Amino acid sequence: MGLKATNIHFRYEKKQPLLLENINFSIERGECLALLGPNGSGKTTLSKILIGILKPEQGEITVNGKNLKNLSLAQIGEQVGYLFQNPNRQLFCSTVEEEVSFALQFRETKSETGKEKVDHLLGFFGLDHLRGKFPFTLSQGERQRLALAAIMALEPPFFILDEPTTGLDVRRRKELLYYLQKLLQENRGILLITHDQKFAEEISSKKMELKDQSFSEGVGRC
Amino acid sequence: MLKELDPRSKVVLSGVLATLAVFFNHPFYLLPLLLFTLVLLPFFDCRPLQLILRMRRLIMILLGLMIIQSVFYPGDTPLIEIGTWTLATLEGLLQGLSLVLRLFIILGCGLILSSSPPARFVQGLVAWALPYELAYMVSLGIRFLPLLREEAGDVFTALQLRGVDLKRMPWVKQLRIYRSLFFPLVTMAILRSKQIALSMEARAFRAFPRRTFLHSLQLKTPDYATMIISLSAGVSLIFLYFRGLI
Repeated sequence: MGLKATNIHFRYEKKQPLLLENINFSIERGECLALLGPNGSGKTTLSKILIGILKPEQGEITVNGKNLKNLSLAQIGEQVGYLFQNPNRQLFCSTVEEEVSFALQFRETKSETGKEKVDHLLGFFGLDHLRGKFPFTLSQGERQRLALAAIMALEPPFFILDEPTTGLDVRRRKELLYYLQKLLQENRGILLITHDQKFAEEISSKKMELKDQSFSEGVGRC
Repeated sequence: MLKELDPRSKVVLSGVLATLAVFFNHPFYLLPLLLFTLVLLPFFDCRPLQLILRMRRLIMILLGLMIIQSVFYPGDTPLIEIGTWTLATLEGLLQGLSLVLRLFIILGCGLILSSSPPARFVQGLVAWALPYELAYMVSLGIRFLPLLREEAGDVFTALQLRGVDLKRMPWVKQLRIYRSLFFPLVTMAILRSKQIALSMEARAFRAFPRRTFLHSLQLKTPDYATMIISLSAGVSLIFLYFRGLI
């Protein structure tokens, strides 16, 4: 069970050398795995493979025992919440409230339940006072939190967060840390992609470094 | 290699090919013109296969266009008839085919133009006395397109990852979804253009009336030859076509 990658090999074009070679790891619920590595080492590529945007040349990804190959992106989204490196690219509604409630509309959630959930998420991420605002007028940190709240509406058991600390000041960084700890307490699994070693140490129970196409694994602070 | 040609020569060559594609109105002329464009592409370091792959996603739209043309274009040679009603004519089918071939040729011209780096393209346009600001805007616009495509892809993915299964959705709902994609893309494009304008001004864009370039462009013999051959061939073909000599 959990989010599991087995023997992943990947390259963008056939003529190119492998960008990822023999990648194996797994994340369980309530666990945070930090994926570290220098720029261009393939961290974001790996995250895109994990949510089915890119297809691996070899190997398989399973979420709670289900092979990703057999799931549509919409079904994967219910299992894995993905926070893009640039949150602007995943915001597409005209208000903050609409953004958070978007996924619920397609699940045909009853309006009362939906409203309750939206209120909870807006409160959880400190966005309550911004509910009527246009998402693109928010600060970087607020947009980051909004994107996270939007993907949380589906209540996926796992999250992949691609460089969530980029552009955040010390206060916002601390807040993000707090929200992630709350997610872990709710028994959700997190794959944290970052080059912020300090942040990774503060939140993750396991660390892995992507180097020369594969992993060097080390157990961090639990 | 024709790739090294001055961008102005490429503009002339592409312009002639596109003009011929617009003037010619029959697959009999358009097909050889497309074949000629495809033969030219490798010399500009472009793969003809790239053109076909780009058009792959549009194949249904192109087929639809062809069918619409063949149904609505008036003609005397019926192909499919239901009772007294003519559903498709040979003239209509040829017209539809011409449209598709024309699109392929124009896209091929786009590939030829894109074989020059945008900076050189700007220089070429400036050398033709186009105001620098305007030339730069053109090049910036061209550079924006792949970025827009990438952003559209990301937004589309984000949308699906939020539980929207487009394949299982009725088309009216799908249209509503596509409309919602349009919104963030335009917003992002506007925001980015604002940022670019600011950063350009911060780097002294338009601070001085004249501008110099690190690498200067100079027309050489192959450039003159390309321009003269393209123009004379283009003019001759159009003349012969309208005189009914070919």
